[in-house]
Amino acid sequence: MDQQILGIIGLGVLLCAIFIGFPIAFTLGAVSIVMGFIALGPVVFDLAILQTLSVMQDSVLAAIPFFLFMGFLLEQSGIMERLFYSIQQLFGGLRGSLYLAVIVTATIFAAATGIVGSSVVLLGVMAAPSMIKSGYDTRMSAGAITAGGTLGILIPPSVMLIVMGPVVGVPATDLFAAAVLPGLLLAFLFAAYCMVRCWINPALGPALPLEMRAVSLKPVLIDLMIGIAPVIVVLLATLGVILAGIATPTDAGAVGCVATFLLTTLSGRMSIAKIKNCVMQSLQVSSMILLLVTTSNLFGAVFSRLGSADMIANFLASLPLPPMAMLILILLLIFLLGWPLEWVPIVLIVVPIFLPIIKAAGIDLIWFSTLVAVTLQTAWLSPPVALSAYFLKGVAPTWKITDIYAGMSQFMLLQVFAVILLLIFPQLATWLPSIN
Amino acid sequence: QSSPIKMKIQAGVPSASIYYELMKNFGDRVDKMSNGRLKVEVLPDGAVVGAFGILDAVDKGVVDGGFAWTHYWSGKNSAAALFSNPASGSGVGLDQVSHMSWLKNGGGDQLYDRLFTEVLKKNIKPFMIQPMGPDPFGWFKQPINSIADMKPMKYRSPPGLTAEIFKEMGLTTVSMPGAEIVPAAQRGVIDAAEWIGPADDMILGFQNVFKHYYLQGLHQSTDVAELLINRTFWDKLPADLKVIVETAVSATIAETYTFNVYRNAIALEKLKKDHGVKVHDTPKEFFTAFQTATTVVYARESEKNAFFKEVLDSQKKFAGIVVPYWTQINGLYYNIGSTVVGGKK
Amino acid sequence: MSDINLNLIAVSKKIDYITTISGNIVGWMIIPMVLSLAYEVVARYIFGAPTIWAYDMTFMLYGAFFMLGSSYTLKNKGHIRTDMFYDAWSHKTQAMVDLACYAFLFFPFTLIFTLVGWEYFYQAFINDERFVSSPWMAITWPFMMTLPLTGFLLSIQGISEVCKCIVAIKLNQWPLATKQES
Ligand code: NA
Ligand code: NA
Repeated sequence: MDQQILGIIGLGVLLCAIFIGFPIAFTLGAVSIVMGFIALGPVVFDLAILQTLSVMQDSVLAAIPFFLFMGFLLEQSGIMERLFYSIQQLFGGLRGSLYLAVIVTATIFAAATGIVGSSVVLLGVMAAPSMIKSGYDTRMSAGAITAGGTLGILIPPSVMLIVMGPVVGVPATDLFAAAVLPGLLLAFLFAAYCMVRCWINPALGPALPLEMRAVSLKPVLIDLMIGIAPVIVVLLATLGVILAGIATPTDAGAVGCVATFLLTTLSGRMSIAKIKNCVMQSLQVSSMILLLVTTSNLFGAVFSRLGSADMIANFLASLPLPPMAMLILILLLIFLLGWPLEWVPIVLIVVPIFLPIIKAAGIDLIWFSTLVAVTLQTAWLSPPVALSAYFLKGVAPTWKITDIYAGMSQFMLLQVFAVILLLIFPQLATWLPSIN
Repeated sequence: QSSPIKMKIQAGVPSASIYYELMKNFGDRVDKMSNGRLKVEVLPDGAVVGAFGILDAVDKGVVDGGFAWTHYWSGKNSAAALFSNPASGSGVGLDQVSHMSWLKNGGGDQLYDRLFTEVLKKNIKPFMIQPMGPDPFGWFKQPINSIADMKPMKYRSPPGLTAEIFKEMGLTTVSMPGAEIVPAAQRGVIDAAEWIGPADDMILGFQNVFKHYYLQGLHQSTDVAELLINRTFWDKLPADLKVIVETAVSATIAETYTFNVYRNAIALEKLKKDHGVKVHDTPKEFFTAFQTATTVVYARESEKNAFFKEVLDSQKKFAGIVVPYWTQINGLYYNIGSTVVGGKK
Repeated sequence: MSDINLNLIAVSKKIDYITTISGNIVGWMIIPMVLSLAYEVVARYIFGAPTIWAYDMTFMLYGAFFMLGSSYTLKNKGHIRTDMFYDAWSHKTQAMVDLACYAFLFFPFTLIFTLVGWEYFYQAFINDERFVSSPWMAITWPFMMTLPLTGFLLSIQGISEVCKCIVAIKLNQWPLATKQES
């Protein structure tokens, strides 16, 4: 059998195998190894080891355990719950105020981290308990957290854009500038969607019951200050040092852990048992996430080695289509491939094949890259192979994966809407880089 | 006619790199010369494995070939760096051309082959394929006039022995993948950085965050990229295809020389004209200080590693004959060029 | 309950205990991981005197941390599944599906890590391989050793899970139900 065909069959097998209900990391690993073994023989074992070693030495992913530990410390100390409660008090009668809080936090956090994993888990750890307690709709909560979390890889800094720059031949810093407005647009769409849905149907994000609302604003503001002050300290210690250019996100994650630890311990909110709990939870969720990243990278590597993506892309590239039709076709292909695959093989293998066509048609490369980036975002939100769903499930185990899928799918549609807006208004991407 | 043989080559550079383009040209040449019997497919960095996994991937046959630099394997044996990127001409004055001459005529290629078969014990047939050096000293946010000026700066350097030489000079280096340098610099995580050369550096956007460029680099005054082929794959090739690959390699060596000069020159022109980049001479004291540090670090390494010593001795012996002659010739070209461009940069 | 079931449960309990201990050891690695990198940040950015070891130390610990923790995570059912069909099945069906998956998906995977990982560790060990990411040039074998060790720890935890499956198939009831600790 042709290796390329085998790769496509592998995609199908993966999509089905995931539903068997065995831990996904092992399913992904086994499907990759079997598919690779049939096509390549025992060398796939070496490929598995090499891919694992590269995740084990990835300094960007190393931020994940740090952000997790920080998140668990904040959660265990009760600070986050207090903060989110204060926000609800402040917005007393507003429906869905926690969604707004999540999206705003996610957007700020996205400006500090370049990956999805750390955003989703930190938001999940911090916000999910409050959302559950306040009777928020599970699906929409899960959707807001996963969608908000994926902003981490679009709003600069972004590892995806760092990888895409040298592939397209445009400086990553230009792509960073181009992604700012689309990123904010998405954040706005996410927030607006939540607020409108809640306005129509209060059950999705109930306002605080009358008897729980504050009588006067003053105690709320005081409480908010007390609740916020420690969080501000932590944010300054982490986000601040990243944004001020003092340290990388991973560096800042470590500093943030120390700051959070000192803060929570000195304020008497910690005990040995709680710390141990944080340590073991960080271990468990880190293992879950990073093993998934490892095996999905392995799947992508085997898929690239088989050349299936090349085959499809080369075929499409050979079609005699006008540039705009070709552009839409390319985005459609990327969207579809994003269902079973993560962004890495798509950026590395598929994008370069279409690049000559894009260049020949005189299509702006920055605009093209931004379209690709926003389309690739959907890969994080398209079930069943959607790592952000698993990340969230890891920190919010009471939520059913089906509900998380259902929630994130709604936001995936918003993402598609954003791609269409970007197609109609290229200035969303090209304006900021042009004044740079 | 049997179906064509496919050779998948995993490159250690992204697809927009000019050196990726050269590998594509190499593949086209092999394809045409063999009348389509041997098809080469080049994969960008990270497609199957990352740049630092290429050696093992080729050795085990995960991919048939790899494109990288020998110094990437210096963690397995420090002598590896002497083949692709000996610092400041190995401390014996070799330049890019005389270094290639050492490989071809001074016994370098034999030692290079032994590095893979005997020392690293890899199932690999290696070829030096792209003499792309020298690599510039690099990009700075602020101009420097002395080593002291550079001391408070955080400088991205290549890893391994080179980093140790900078350390010997009292300079602070950090290592990070090429694509992350510019975003890191934009945020102020680093103050200065080296990468490959004007053409590739421009693709990554160095000019957007740094305006001072020092072309005269000592840390990689020679820089040769390699093509590694899985030996089992190589041994199975019919004799004529082997010669075709070898000939295509030689052609790529020649192409790299000419291509490199032109592409980097037009890139530099663009950097100066469109991006306001200022090109500076590397301050004189760097030459002596770096040379001294290299000698110290290499002597220390020679004591620890017999093969390192053997390679270095071979280069010393060769340099003893060639450098006096070749320096005169370089002087000729330098003087010819200087009379035309004068102090202009 | 029959003797066989009791024996299987006893084996499973022993393995779970070993895994819990390994998890408790590995988990605390996050403390030196945080401290060495935080120290580096202070040393580099405040005192301008970076260390040569802290980055490599952190990343070695990070790699070992999540790999070695994967068996503890398996024991606590922390590796995510798509539960949409799985949850609806009887315990017996769940256990039969799991047993088949352990046999055909899980053990081949962990076996590769144990055997091939061992080979990589062994090569790194006898060749005294070094990390070139910093002038520290740290030895790589302790880091590489986590590959076969992870394979081994996962494999024995897999045996424990298989024991639980067999009992569950016989009794249509999961033994030693672990709550998902998250
Ligand atoms: Na980001
Ligand atoms: Na997906």
